[in-house]
Amino acid sequence: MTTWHKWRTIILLFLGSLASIILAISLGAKDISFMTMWTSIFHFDANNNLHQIIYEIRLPRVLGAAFVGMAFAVAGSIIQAVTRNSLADIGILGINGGAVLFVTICFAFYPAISYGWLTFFSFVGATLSTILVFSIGLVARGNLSPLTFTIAGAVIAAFLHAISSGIAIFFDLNRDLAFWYAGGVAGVTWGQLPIFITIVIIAVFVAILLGKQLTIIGAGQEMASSLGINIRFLLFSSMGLVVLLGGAGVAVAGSISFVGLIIPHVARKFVGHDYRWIIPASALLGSTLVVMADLLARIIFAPKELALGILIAFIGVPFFLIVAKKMEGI
Amino acid sequence: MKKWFLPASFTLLAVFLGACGNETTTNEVTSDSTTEAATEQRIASLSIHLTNDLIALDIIPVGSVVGGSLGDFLPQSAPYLKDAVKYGPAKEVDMEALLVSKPDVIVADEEFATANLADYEDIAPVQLFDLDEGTWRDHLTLLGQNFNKEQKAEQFISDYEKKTEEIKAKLDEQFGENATAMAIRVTNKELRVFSTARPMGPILFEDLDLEPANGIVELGTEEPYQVISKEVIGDFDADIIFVVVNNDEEAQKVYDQLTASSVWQSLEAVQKDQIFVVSDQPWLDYSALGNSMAIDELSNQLKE
Amino acid sequence: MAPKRRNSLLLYILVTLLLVFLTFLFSINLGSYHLSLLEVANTLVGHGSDNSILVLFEYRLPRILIALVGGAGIAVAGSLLQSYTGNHLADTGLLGLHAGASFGLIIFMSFFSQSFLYAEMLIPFFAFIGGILAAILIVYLAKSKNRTINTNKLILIGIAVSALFNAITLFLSLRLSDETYSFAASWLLGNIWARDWIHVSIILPWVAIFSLLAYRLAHPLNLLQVGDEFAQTTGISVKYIKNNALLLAVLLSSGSVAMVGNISFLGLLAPHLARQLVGSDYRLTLPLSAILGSIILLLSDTIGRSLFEANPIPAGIFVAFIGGPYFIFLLLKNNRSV
Repeated sequence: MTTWHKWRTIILLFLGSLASIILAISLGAKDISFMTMWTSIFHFDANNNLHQIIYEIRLPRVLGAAFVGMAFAVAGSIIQAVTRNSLADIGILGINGGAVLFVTICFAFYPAISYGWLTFFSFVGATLSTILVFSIGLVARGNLSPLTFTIAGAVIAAFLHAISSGIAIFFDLNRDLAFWYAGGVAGVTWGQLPIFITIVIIAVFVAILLGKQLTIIGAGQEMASSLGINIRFLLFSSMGLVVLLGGAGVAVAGSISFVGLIIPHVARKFVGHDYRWIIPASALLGSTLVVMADLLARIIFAPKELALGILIAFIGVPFFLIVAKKMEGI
Repeated sequence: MKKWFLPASFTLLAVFLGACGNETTTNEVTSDSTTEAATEQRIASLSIHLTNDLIALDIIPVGSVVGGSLGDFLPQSAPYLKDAVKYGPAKEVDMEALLVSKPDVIVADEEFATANLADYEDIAPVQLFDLDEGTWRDHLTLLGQNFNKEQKAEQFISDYEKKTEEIKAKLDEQFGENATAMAIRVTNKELRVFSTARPMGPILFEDLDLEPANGIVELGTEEPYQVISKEVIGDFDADIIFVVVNNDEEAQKVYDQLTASSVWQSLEAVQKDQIFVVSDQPWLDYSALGNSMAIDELSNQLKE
Repeated sequence: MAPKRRNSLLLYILVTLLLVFLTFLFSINLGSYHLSLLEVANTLVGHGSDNSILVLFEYRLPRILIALVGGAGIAVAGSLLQSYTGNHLADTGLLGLHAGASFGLIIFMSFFSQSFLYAEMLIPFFAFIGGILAAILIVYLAKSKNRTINTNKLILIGIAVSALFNAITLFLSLRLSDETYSFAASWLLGNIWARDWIHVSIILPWVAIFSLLAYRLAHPLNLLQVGDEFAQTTGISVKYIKNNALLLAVLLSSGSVAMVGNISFLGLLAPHLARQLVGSDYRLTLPLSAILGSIILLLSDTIGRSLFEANPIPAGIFVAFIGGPYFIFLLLKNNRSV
């Protein structure tokens, strides 16, 4: 595959992603014409009810979906490279487990806390659990064996889940807690978006810059060190990126499974095994997937809404089975 | 033994006072026998809704199951149940606690109790109620018949009708005869709109005789609510919106959301200040006590 | 077996059985219905009042037996799975068997939960189908083209399959009604809900038979520890033994989990403690881990109910509380020695 081919693919994926975003903004439970949508974006009229709906409900939701998809897909790619486990996902870092634990603690001790602060604390929790899993993986001879790392992540996730559940039971927290961490982009607001989008864009660009090293480390650490790559530095910086992307994604939308697991594989189908290309391709494919899945969730039984997580699971499970079947031994 | 003495004596007193108000002697006789029967029978309730129907009849059960996610008695019935034994959630009844409370009779919801019926019957005779059949009035009447409280049941229902008539009149006066209404619940991720089914449907659209807003009927009666796109909230075009919240903190959050969003602000009901923020309990408790207290809560809000 | 080791095994079994007995005594006295020690003792020897007989024999004893038997079942399943994967960190919960069972339960709750007589009997059935489904899926996916199974790949796939089932279970559970949800949620956390003799009559023979079959595998499993090639030279069929070990692990774990809820880490904790005590001979570790599994689960259930009377904490949370850190400790220790 020549560079020109790859560029062409990326441009096509970009156009596809853009098209899905425009489609998702045009369609919804409320019937709004394409022209109205257009004028609402470029000539916003604060007194027009349809403009308000586009601007206040649909736009943040679609943008949220696009960048959440991007964040989870890129985080997934990085983790799969670093752990050399092609079935790895951000769940493996206990990111969701840490986020939920902190949100539970907030609900238990300070129920009046605002959504903004909950988002913040969920991010803090995600960061802490990632650091925990990462350091356990590192303590073993400074080496991240895929198996150790994956098991450590799964164990930490289960452990954190048990603690949050214990707290939730003891403090009689009801199931609204479960709704908090079930994934969905319906609640994304303009207030969250500027910071979130900035984080995602910066992190994705840094990830692309690290692409070459990620490709080498994905092929094996021995080779990486023989090529003079500072593994520790690379691990730290890529984990930092994963925390930023995954933590911010979970804080904004809750956990959305499968995106980070499947999309990198689809990206490889398009652009081969070079992470300099896999990462941008994943970013675009991830955003397309979540935007389209959320669109379907909104319009299949409009005005009723389906759960985004279920819909992505429906698309994701068959892919998962194919990917898992093809997975190479370790 | 002392545990049930206080509520029982209050019950006795209440029934006695109630009986004094009656004019005919025949009624007094029935009431007397009622009094005895009520104090004699120790009733265990395996449904939170039946518990609240019993309380409406001035019968304090010796014990009751608790709300599933609440892990406790419902707040509206808790003051009456200070001495009652907690049996745990209806799907996992604590048999020992049930035995400790020494019931003479157990009332239960068919839906949850059928599976373990034999175990319950080892402790006391069981009266099964199909709570999906009929309204709470039917359940109340049936309980009244079973526990010699027919009169109290009738009286409670007629009091309720009288109360709702007053509220209905006030609502008509304030919002017009054909005012439409909808009930919603807002979480950080979803907008849930209540259907015409229980628990919100009957009280709003039958008892208070409000018109269901556009599209509410179309939500079907299968589920108590549906998750709906926020975009179409205006299309329901409701004159009155009931916002159901869990507690004060949640009410505050919902209020913040309301004021922050211009789509909300542009709703007619919001502009005209025709929003009622109501608490999930008693409103979502479909029982005699629950609905009656919901009406009282609404009446207070209307006064303000 | 050297006589000295046999003696120490006997000692361990005696001591652990004594522990079981003490836990049993503590647990049998626990409950909302007050019974004095004397009454308990009298009732146990057949001189109880109607109520104390009802409480002890109908309410408390079946529940305790289920905890004991379920704990043993999960522990033995964990041992077998560790032998199957050749990895001491394998756990039936971690590798997706419990997640499969949970998926089965939630399917039942979502689509068939209308109450009818013996509806609860279907819970074990559905949990079992789910567990089998997960196991088949994991093994199928882990099988490479030349039909061999790479155990590391199996573990990674098991963890991924577990995540897959858990994700679907979470979303389905959010659509349940309040009462059903709270039951499902506490089951998922490892709550011993089964408490009738009819449940005992299912789980006891189930675990007993399959544990005995597992014990018959003890000798070949010992040979497998040395290495597949070595085992092959002694004339046993490695594939046959391994397949049997996996099948028994699935049967034992899903059967137990159906009754005692989704208890993670127990399948790891009990066999490891057993190995610490008596070494790596499966003829010793299998029975000992069964007993330890029983103690741990009964103790966790007892603590959860006695410490937090108003809001009993499911046993699974306590097991995870001890099991999680222990797991991490093992992970770190294992890696240093590699």
